[in-house]
Amino acid sequence: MQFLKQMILEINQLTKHYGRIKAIDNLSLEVEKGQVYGILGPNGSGKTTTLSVIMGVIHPHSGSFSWFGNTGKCRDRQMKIGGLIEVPSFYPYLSLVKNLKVVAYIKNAPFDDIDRVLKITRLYHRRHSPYRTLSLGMKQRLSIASVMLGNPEVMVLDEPTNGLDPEGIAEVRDIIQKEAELGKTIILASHILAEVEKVCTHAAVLKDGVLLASGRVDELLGSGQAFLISAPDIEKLEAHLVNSKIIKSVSRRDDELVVNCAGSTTAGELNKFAFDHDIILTKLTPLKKSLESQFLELVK
Amino acid sequence: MRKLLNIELIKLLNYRSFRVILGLHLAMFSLLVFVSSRIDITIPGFDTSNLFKFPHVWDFFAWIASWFNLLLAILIIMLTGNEFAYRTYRQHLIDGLDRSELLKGKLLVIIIISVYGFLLVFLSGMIYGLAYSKGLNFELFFSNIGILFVYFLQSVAYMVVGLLLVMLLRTPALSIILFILLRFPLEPIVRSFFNPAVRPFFPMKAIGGLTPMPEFLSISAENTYETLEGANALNLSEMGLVAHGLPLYGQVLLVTTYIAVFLVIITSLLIRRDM
Repeated sequence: MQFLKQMILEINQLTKHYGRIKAIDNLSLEVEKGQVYGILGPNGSGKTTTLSVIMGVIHPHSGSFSWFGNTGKCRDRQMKIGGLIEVPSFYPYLSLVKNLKVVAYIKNAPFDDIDRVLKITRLYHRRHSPYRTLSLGMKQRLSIASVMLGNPEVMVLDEPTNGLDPEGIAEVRDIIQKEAELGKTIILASHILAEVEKVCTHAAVLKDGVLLASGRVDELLGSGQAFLISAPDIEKLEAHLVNSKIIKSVSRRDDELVVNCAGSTTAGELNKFAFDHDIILTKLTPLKKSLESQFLELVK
Repeated sequence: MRKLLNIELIKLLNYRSFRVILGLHLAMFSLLVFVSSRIDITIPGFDTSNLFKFPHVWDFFAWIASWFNLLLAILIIMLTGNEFAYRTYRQHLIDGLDRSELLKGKLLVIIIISVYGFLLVFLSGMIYGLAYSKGLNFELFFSNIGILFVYFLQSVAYMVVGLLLVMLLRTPALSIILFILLRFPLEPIVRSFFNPAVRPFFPMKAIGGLTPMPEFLSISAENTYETLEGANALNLSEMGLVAHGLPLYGQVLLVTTYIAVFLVIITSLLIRRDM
């Protein structure tokens, strides 16, 4: 059984619409144990709706999902899943400790865990302050503390770095990476590409509720080098490249070509390809491809 | 259940509005019964102090306490409205609570508050009753104490109506306004379109009718023990209820049914709706 990957979450053809607007449309995803799964998409692409459905907060119109391979629409309360969706949600008049006590009762987590998560999120010194006195960044950190309470196997985080300063963002990223190293499965929604690229192993890209792409992050985003190339007979070069398997796409820019390479194609291979077709490259410049542009390309 | 109780207790005991409203309730009830005990009507043949003797004190105090049920309903509306405003119900679901447990928690709160109301009426009734009655006659003491349980049912019923409204509307302000308007004039207006025989079956009418106004005149007129004992206390409350067209047990049954129906509606709202 060891070679079988353990399925954590399976989403099958999930659809949810608000009135006429389709928030998610026929979405299918699979998350395996130990993955840090990023759900990437612009605002309003259905990330939060997706997470709300799998956390049992909203009902899908059709489709199903299952946690840990258990079929059915519900999640078992025994399953250790921690979740943060959209905004931090606590009682403003209760202190941090009392807020987390409420969460600990619900999760059947021991009270001694409260101090641990408050320390990790650097809120321990404020533990007796009422929640309403916290800054936005601290509130967000308390949400993350609350998610970690009870040491869940799976953490579902919706925009966890929202409202944090650069230091806070780095801290949260650090926390996520540490949890991932412990073998936790993390599902993370974000519209910030760099965030997903830095912490996630896998990602799905959503737009208008439709899944555009999914897979390993390095294949999805960092895949293939891009080059700017030029040759005397540019039409001939383009025609050969279009039919070749070593590139993903090619586009004309004046008398130069922008080439997106497939997989691990190197500059040398590109040069050899041209040479094999009796073309001498006059220009071969690696392009530092911006993730942003790649993301925009995907959601176009 | 214990878990839900602990959770609700944390929310309640640290909530200032809860303490303020409950304090107001306590103060207003205590002041009102104190002030009414000071009223001295000197008409020959009438003695208002009879109202404070067993067993009339139970009826009288339960009736006074029922005036303040609005406060208790407002309290449950605010507490539940907060859960929507703070999005904590949603977070509870994410953390792993069942949807039905959200209702169970608030039912516990309703029972806690109703037990408080019951104890308030019981203790103050006992204090005044002992002070005004000549000696403790157990037969008289217990003869109409059942009205306290009816009062308990009434406060539960009012709070369940409040809970239903806030679960429907999800905003405390709107729910409180609707609750007040429902008592008067919304339901009375709707009632007036119906046959008088049907009118007692409307929820607010039925709940309000549980603790009818004591028969001040007849109680005050009975200044001797002989007549007091001669007049069956239950009979007196039935006299008040006859006007409403339903006997007490019928009304208790009706209100219990309403509570059950409202709870079913709340459960289905909680289960079907998105949070």
